[in-house]
Amino acid sequence: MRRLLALALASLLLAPGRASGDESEEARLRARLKPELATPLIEVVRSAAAQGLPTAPLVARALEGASRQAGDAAILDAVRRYAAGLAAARRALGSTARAAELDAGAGALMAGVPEDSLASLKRARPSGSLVIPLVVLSDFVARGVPVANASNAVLAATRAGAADPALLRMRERIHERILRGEAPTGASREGLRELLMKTPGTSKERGSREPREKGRP
Amino acid sequence: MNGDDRWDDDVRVAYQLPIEGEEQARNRAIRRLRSESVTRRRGMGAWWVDPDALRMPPALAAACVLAVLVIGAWSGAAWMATRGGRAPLLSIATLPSGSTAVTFVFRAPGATRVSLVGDFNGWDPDATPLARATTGEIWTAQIPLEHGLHAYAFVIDGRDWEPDPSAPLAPVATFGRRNSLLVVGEDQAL
Amino acid sequence: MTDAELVARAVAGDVGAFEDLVARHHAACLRFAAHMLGDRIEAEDVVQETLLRAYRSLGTYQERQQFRPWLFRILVNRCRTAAGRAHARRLRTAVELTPGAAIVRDATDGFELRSRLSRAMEGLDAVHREAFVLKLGEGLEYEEIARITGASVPALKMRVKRARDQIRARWEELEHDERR
Repeated sequence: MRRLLALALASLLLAPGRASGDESEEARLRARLKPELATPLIEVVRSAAAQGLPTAPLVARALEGASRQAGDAAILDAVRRYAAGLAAARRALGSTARAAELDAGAGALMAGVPEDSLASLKRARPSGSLVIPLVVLSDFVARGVPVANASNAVLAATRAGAADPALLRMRERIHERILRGEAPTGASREGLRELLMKTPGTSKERGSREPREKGRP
Repeated sequence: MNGDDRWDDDVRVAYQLPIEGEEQARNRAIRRLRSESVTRRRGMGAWWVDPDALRMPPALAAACVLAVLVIGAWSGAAWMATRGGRAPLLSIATLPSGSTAVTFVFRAPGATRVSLVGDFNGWDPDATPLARATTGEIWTAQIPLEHGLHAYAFVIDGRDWEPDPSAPLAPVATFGRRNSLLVVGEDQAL
Repeated sequence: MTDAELVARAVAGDVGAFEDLVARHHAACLRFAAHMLGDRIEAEDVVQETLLRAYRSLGTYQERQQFRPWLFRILVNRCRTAAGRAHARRLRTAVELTPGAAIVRDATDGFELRSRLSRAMEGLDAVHREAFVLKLGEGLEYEEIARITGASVPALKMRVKRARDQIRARWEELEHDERR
């Protein structure tokens, strides 16, 4: 028992502070970064906090930049853009959006997904979490699916009532297709078609509501 | 590495994945041993510390341990990392509500060390080393993560930063390389 | 400190030395029992029994032996007895047994891997399963496995080969099914 107690106390001493409040986040930034960088960064973080935006992703980006040995200007720029992305995500997803949704939404917006697409996604699933649809959307864009196709695929799937596991499976299937050499556009279209065929309550008619692509019959 | 060896590797990885709740099971085993040993103490000397030997009443000591565990548990990821990724004898008896233990596995042929970096450990390449799971290519680590979205990557030999090949990619390569995304929800990681 | 040193201390009355041994070997015991019995709950009981027996017979452990094979000998026997009590069941996955348990997020789909392994091993009799798990899972040498199980090395090699062939065939079927 003595050993357990000693180990437990040691753990508390060794453990870094939890980034649960502004102060500890600021302390972490100051501990890792030079003052010339930490100070303006903390301003960005505080400003985001004042707007009610989540600050943990901003701190995470800054620390990532530091670990990757990015330049000060690059780090500051990245964090500012991310803060702007979070604000835009909140406009698109609404003030009830959770931190993880804003985080995922910011990433999508910064990759070129229009705010409208996020807003449409919100309408397609007004009360459930949008984290997975946004993550899936982001993944498509990251893998080269054109933004319009990616947005359409995720939107159509979500409107059809696909649940998160189905969306993730769709992502995996599309990923596999791309790995096998299919063009991302075709892969996403096929992946969506597979999902719609499997989603209960989706009729062919519904599937055909997906907008036609230019130049195809 | 030929197909046979790779399959053997996959089997070994599959087999050696940590059994869920192993730490709790271990603690239960230890408690059972203690209660058994009390009756057998005569032959072998004092096995387990007699609670009377402690100044603190055992209930209070246990409460202190639990309190520290709960307070420290979110930081447990870094704490476990300072133990080199090996599950410590003093386990996290209960994960704080709102977090889930997640196992990361990464195949890195020829690597001498692999670590995990992410939002959850300040992207510190020294914070969460992975342990080699087989004699070959597979590396693993298990850490508690809060529910929510986490960006992460793997660092190989201290210099190559790689995303997780099977995970969703983050859409923006903020500092030149894309990260992977992990969503930890209620009772599961996705 | 080596296992042998820990045993010596434990026998001499060192508090926590046996606890350290448990810490080192419990996980390996649990995974062996879980794969042999196909039941996580029963596996835990069997491992506890094993540790108790090991603790009681520490006096018979000889320093020149490796501790884990010595412990596994007890474990193998406990598993055989337990398996005789009940038919082997499919190893239940983490989600079914323990809410909030560790789920694998990884480059090789480990979660599916383990589920596939346990399904691929279904129907394999205990003798072949033992040999396969000890060789391919635990990575022990044939001589060690012989000491643990009481079988001869040639017999074990044959069992491992047969088990491997059967499991691999089933594994590949399952993999193929999953991809569809």
